[in-house]
Amino acid sequence: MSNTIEYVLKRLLMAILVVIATSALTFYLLSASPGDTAEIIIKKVLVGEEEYNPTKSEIQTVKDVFGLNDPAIICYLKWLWKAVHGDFGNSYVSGLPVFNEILVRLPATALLAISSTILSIMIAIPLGVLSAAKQNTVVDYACLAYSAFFIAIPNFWFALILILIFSLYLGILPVAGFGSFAHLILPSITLATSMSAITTRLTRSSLLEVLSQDFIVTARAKGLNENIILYKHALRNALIPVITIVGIQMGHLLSGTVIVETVFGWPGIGKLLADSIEVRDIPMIQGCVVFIAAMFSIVNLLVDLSYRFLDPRVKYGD
Amino acid sequence: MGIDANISFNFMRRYLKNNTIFGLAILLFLIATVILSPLTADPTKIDLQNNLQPPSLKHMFGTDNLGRDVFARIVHAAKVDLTISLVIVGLSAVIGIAIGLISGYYGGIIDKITVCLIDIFLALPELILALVIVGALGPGLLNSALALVALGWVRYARIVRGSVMSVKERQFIEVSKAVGIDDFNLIVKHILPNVVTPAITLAMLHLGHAVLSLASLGFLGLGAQPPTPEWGTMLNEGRVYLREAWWMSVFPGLAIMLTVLSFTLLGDGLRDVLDPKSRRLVYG
Repeated sequence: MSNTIEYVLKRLLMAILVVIATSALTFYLLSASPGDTAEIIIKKVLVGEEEYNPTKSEIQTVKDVFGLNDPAIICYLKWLWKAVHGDFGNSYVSGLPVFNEILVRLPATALLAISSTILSIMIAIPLGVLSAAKQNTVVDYACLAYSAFFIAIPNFWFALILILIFSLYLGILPVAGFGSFAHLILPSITLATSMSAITTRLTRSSLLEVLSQDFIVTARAKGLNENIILYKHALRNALIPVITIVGIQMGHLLSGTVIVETVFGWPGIGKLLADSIEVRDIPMIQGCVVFIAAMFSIVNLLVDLSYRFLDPRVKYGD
Repeated sequence: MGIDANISFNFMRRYLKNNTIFGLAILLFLIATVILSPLTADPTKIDLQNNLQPPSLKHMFGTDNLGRDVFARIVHAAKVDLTISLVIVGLSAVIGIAIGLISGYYGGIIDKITVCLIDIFLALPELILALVIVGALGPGLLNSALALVALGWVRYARIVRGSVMSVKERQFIEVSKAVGIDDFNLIVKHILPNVVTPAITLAMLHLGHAVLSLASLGFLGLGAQPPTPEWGTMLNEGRVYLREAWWMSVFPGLAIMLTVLSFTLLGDGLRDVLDPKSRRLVYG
């Protein structure tokens, strides 16, 4: 038991290190980038014209207001100190606290992530089981082809194709936006299909591996019904790696949503990040990246723990 | 039903069993289009009289909002996307393999730092980091490529480092050392050939991934800037005209899909040949 606690603590410490390293890296990249930050704020945010030539006093005012007088390292440490206390600074664009903006956007991203994960499982597990149960038949090859195609299809393109068919041609679903169940359908399908491509393949190969094991041969030898063998004995064992990959994909979803949220105008964290990068809203970019890194680390940790919980043969502490 | 089902079944079986050949065929087709690209219309020639024309005999894939030939743009974009992806993969592989060799062979503090870096990089979604790097450096094809190299070396370093750790314990390394071969020759001539196989497979799968990442950045407006033809950027331009001109969006996406499909199939085939025991499913 102490082994478990030690393992969790070690992983938590690593996760915190990763998040801090990420914030430092982001901060360094954004402050070391070409162009004076104050000048960029004036051009892109305050005036909105690339050609605008700010005066010295304007630059100084902006530097004072946004606290840009210190060297980058001091700025970072100040930011880190505040961030540890829950203050991620204010957006250059809206002037509102970054942390609140992210929290406001969180439900939309969470809704999309959860619905597309559930949908992807609903597609992938039946397909994977079908594929393994009918190995080397037309059904199997069709499932494999499905998976190969959706690994190769860029999700931003598939999103456009779905909009083209269901919104513009058939006119039964909204093009973009947020607010009703109908708005949720196309973004979820986009994310779910690309996730399910990998999960289908994994379910298939995992199930095939289990089906070749001795206890299945024994079950068959004693004349057990093939369906009972498949669903009761094999599938339960085969699903352990599948759960892991679904968990990891949920972490990756956060980056998938940057694109899908942009295409569908979905007001989540991904779109917030993409928009902030466009206008160089540094505190907002910083906040989003740190938030995503933290979520990703937490999800990964939970996946690892659940893996070890589901499969008692796995030992902690490696 | 019987005969039809049988024919399609046999066809499917042969087709998918030979999916490596299918992948190779797509790749050859792509290379051929790149070589023949000078024969197409000028991809940057603006013709506002004939903008947003649907596919016809004159313009196979139609024309875009500025009247440019979409087919010509896709073919020229193939050159851009394939070359840049190849450069990304090549540089990532060379850097990653070098770091993996050094860190695995020498161990110590270098190794600790490398492992820490690998953990940090792999602990984050790649696209997010790429977005930040490109956001910082400014949009553009070269900056996107730079960002993808900065993130791409990690997997090579990890895989090579692991293999070096096990190879360097083997007897022939000890013997070579005893004979007095210097470190550089030992690493390049004796260790490298024994650890490079998984990296080659990784590179093949990485190619498909690089095409997708590059196009993603282009689609978000951070990659190649107009008028450079690039598949992702073309999709970004086409998105606005989805209602009026579906062909501006549909065809560049098909090109991306075929390319990635080809590299994935080839990568899978290569892996089956080079290390049949490995069970890695996809790059990622």
